[in-house]
Amino acid sequence: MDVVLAEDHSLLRDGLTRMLEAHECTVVEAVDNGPALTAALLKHRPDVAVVDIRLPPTFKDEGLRAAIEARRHIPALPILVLSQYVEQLYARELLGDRRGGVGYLLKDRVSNVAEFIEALRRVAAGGTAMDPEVVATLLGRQRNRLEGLTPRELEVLGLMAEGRTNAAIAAALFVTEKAVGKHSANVFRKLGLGQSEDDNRRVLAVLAYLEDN
Amino acid sequence: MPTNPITRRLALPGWSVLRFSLTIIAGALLAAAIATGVLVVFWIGIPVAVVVLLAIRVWANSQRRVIGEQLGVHIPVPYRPRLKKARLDQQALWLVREAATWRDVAWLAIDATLGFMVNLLYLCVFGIAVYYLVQPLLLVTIFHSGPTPAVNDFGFFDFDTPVKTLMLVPLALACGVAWWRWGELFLRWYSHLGVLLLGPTSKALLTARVSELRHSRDQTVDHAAAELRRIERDLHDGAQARIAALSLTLGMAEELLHNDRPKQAAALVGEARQACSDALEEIRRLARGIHPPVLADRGLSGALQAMALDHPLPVTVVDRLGGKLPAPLEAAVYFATNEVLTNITKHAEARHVQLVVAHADDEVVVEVRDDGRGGAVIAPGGGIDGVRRRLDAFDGTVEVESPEGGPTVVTMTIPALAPVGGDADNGT
Repeated sequence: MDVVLAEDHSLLRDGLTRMLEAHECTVVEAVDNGPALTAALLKHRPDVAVVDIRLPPTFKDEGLRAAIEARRHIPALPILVLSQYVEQLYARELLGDRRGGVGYLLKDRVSNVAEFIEALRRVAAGGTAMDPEVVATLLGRQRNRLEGLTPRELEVLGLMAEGRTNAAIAAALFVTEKAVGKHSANVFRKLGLGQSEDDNRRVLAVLAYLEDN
Repeated sequence: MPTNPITRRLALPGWSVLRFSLTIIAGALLAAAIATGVLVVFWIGIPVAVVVLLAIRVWANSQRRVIGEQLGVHIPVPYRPRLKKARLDQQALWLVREAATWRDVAWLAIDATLGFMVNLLYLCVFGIAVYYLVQPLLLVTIFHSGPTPAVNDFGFFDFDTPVKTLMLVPLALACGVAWWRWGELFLRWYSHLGVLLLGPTSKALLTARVSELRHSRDQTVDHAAAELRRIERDLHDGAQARIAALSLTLGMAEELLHNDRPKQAAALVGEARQACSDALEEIRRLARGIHPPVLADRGLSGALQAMALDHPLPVTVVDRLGGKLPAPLEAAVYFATNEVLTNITKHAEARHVQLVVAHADDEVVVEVRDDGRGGAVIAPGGGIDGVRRRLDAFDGTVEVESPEGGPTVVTMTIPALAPVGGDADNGT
């Protein structure tokens, strides 16, 4: 996979580069500021980009804005956004164009290499990777609407909202894929959502449902 | 005082009677004051002086209310706080040294004399108008057979018959017109004179303001120092401790690796990773409590939207701010609003919250409305009290409208210049 990396902290940039290259990725360009990121994305059109939200020159949400902007020119360009803290507001903005290929994770998650690479591949394939913290807040706010779900179904819903496939959910919960399929069907039925074969569309539907006030 | 000019002018004679009686009291007080002036030479004069001066203050305050009501303004009380526990002669000295006392006495003298005459003149003009207008009718109907009232003996001419009293009607009409057109202005002019003497001087206003500012500055400094201590403590007990433990764990893992026990080492390294995550989370929380990153990135508008999204209850944000405010002000409003929302979660049992932020008349107004059970009070040390203290440093105020059964509306007001610029992303 060709990857564009944007991270202004040099130690972290080097570490990420090494980790990515050790997992069958080629870092075609590693930048450390907003304008360079936009240029690199448009030039290389990578399979996926790993972007820190906070970049020079403004050190605000440069990375986020560059990502959204790039996706306007290259629709559904897969971008995984990393941040020291997660805000639901930013998650909403990233998902705004309702196309897949979007990820929003806490930088801490990088330390769990296997999960990070899995999330990266998912995003590159057009899927979604939402940080569990963002999902937890979403679920918390919708407590009333989710009353009818069993605890297991809630867990499955949460993992679905993160963007994981049925197989990954099964692995995380130590159950079979069939059981996961059954739970997810129940969840969709109880929430009145249309089932979809496409994992990606499923995630977007779930997230849209959860964000709805 | 009614706002309709017609009803106002009709109500004035009543007010004038009130003022007139106050001038009579003023006269009595003036006499008392003069007597006291003499008595002060003897020891008995001092307690009497305190009593008289306090009585004058009471009278002056009633004047402030009456005049304020008449002119539709608020006349602030200019007195400095009185020491209640001092000895009698110290109290007397305190009263005497205050300039406001002497301005009161000046007004006392003026009101007792000039005020007396002004109101008397007004009431006489009014009285003449009414009486001579009505008199012919009365004489013809009720007092038909009786002698004409002595009032009609003008010296140069005695209007002793009902017909002759009719000749006085033009006089009544003239007085009536005069009363109607100029009576109010006359009394207002006189009242404005009162405002000059009864209100605080600009020096007194400035002094009061300075002590207000000093008090709020002290509070702010205390608050800031307490915050710094809290941060230091949190860093020390939380993040620092975790990172120290982390270092220890890694050291042990290193040793295990040297001793060729990779599996146990791997377990320790996994633990170390978890400890890292925890430390990062702790520092994140701390940073948020100092200055939330989203506030720095998106300004108040964005931060309030983010706050609304993070809140467990559905919060609707109506943002009419249209720009950025100075950073410390935004932080104060952010944290104050956060405290209000936390309060709602803890006590209100609400289902929906509405947050409106706008700028008007050089003020930022934030209104938080919830449909909970109401009955909120500003208890000292409570959430709303904390909000008040935060806003104090910026001369802001907080008001709570919370009838039993709800809904509750908390309104925070802070003076501020108009927001600058307009964020292109407003309204995401």
